[in-house]
Amino acid sequence: MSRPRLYLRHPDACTGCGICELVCSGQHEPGTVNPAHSRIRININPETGRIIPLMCRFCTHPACVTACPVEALSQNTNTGMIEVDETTCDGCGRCVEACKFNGIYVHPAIKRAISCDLCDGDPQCVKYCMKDALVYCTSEEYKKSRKISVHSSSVSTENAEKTEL
Amino acid sequence: MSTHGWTGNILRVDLTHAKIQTELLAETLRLDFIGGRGINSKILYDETGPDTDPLGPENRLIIGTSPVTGTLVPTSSRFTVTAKSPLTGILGDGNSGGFFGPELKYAGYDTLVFEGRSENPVYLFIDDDRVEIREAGHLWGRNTHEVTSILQNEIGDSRARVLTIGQAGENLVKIAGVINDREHAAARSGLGAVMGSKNLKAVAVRGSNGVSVAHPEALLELVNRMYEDYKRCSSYDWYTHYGGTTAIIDMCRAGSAPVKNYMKSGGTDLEKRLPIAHERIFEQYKLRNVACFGCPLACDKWTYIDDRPMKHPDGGSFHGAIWEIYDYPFLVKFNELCDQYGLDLYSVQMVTAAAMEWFERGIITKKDSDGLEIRFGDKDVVRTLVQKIARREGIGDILAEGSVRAGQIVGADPDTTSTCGYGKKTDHGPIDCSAIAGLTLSLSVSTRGSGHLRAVAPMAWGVFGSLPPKWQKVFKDAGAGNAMDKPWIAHPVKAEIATYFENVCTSSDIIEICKNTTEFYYFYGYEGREHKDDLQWHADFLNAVAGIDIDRQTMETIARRVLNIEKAYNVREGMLREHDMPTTRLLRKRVGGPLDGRSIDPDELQRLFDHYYKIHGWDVTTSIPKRGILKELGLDYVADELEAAGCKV
Repeated sequence: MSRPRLYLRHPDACTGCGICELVCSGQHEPGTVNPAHSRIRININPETGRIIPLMCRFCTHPACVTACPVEALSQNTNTGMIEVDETTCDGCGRCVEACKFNGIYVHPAIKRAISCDLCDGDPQCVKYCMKDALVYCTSEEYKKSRKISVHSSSVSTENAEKTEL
Repeated sequence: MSTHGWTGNILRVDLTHAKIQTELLAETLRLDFIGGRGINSKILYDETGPDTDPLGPENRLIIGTSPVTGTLVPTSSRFTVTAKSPLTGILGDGNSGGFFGPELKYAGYDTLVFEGRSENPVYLFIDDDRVEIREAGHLWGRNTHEVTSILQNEIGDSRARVLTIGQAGENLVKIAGVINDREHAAARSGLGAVMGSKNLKAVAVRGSNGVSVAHPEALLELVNRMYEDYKRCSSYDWYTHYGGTTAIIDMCRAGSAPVKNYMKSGGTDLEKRLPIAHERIFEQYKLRNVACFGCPLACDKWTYIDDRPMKHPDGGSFHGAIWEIYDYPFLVKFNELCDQYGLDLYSVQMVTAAAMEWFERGIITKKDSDGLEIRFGDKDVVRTLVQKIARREGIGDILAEGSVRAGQIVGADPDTTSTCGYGKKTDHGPIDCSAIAGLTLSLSVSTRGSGHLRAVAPMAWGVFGSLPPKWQKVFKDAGAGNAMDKPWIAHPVKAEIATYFENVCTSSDIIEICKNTTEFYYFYGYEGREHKDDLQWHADFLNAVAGIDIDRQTMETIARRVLNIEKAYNVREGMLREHDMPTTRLLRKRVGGPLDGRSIDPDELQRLFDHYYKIHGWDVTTSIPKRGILKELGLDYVADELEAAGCKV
């Protein structure tokens, strides 16, 4: 079984409210909120009608780690998460440019890279999403659930593939 | 002074001298007026007055957020835009959701105040402490969607938030609104024209600062409790699915959706309207839930017309019936056109429908309208008129003055311009309140004139056939059991209920959260929700975020204070009881529809107004706030000033 991560339940499930961003930002820095400090970002495109949450996909070969010029990023071999050495990272943003999934960000106030840490296995964004748009599960579990929902809700396969974050 | 919730800064921009300065938000201002509409109205009262030309450089354009804006408090994305209104000449404000308000907070400002007038078109760019007045020649003449995209590209950040006017605001159209994030409007009162008069095309903002929360754990606990309460509400499932679209049919069933410029009674078009009822729309079109920032309910919809996502207009404003047009794709496109030009959807409906009646009666002819036959039911006419209004072209130049003024210019009977508060020159919304006494009162006394979001709660008036138990008790205790479910009866108890909801609405505007989640509106869920005391929620949220300690009673006092300073503003402009009165068509006997044969008894209605003013501590004859009540609210200086201006307080 693969490690659990975050998926979008359905291509139209996310409303773009940004509550996940608020919760994430408050979770990592209690007592202050700003979605620009969050490790999950909602991308809203009013022209295409797509609203997609973006976050780290814990890639097998993370481009962000390779791109870092000061070797501040590393991937935890157990969890797959990207770890940032805050003393080395200077917030240059090469990792942001390298990540084609828009899953890593530079915190605008402290100027350090930040990415999803799944809140130690209890992701708060999932907990506070009132539309249950975010699902925390393994890729096998997700594929199984998607098959069911694709059949029952007549979502086109092309669209359904876009739900994988 | 609390360092939480508020950023503590007012950003002042003098466009005449290109001067930008940050001012400390005084503690008295914070504690007495909290934020949003509260602080805005106070600043407007202090800095403008009868000598202020609404389109002159001396007018202020104030954009206000609250301590809870941009936090996890549900629906806390709203903000208020305030100025002296060019449409009415009295207090003008518009309230909007979207994303702009929170971003202004993240940039480090609670309130933004513009004054003066730039020589050339400019826009303001706020990037935390870096605030620049930038040249906007390339934006002038462009619509709100274009401006938003251009500025986001220019700044290189698709999450920069843009508040802008369209061509209507540039052309000083008095029913122009201010649009943010393409589709969210602070539409009412013609504030787009104020922005245009200052040569201010847009404000773009992004912020990297956090909003400080005093008690994050207490806040999370409150949020959890509110979410649970939402889910208990019997309306939760259908409301979060259908959102505002339900109003299309509900308002018709209640008789409050006007037909043919109010010439026919509201609700007589049920047959024609059924094909655009929410269930049918959801069957025929693909719709998608969209939310304002921080809102777990997502009443907003994108609807796919010609395979393109377009904003579904909020149900309450969705009345093609006013022109006798029942065509869903047309109505959605009409809404987008208004958003793009930056026009108030309500006012455009009012003034174009009135023009159709004037044409039908021969008050205006093809000679006045460049050959256009302004007939009811004609979609092309509506589209053409929207363009003409936005550009002030031909007949559009007159219609751009709003329905009351336009009627006066063409010499129409005031009766053809249905509005509550004719004397205040207000553009009413598409709301037929005839034979609905509580609604008529609430719209009439609104401090921005005919504001349907100020005091009225349609369902609580018995319009929908059944009253929540709480209000049944209020009726019974007042000895008005027979007035339950009889909206045309103007029993004084309705003034008390209006006042109750006025507090809820004012308080919501002060802390800038959405009224859809309050007892006031759809989602008030008298079945299911356990914690429905809105003022208590507001006080609790404020305490958790801002680290202050206020109770329900204080919250109510603050709301009363704000309402009274707004009323005093209008009194200073010469607006008295007589200016609050509705036009006669709204008092006629209904023919057909759910309230067939009913009308409000005019004498009874006057007694309802009497009672409303009396419980406010305002003089019954003039409606001027008495010194006693102003003093009680700490507004002695307002009483002194009104007295000096010759008002008997």
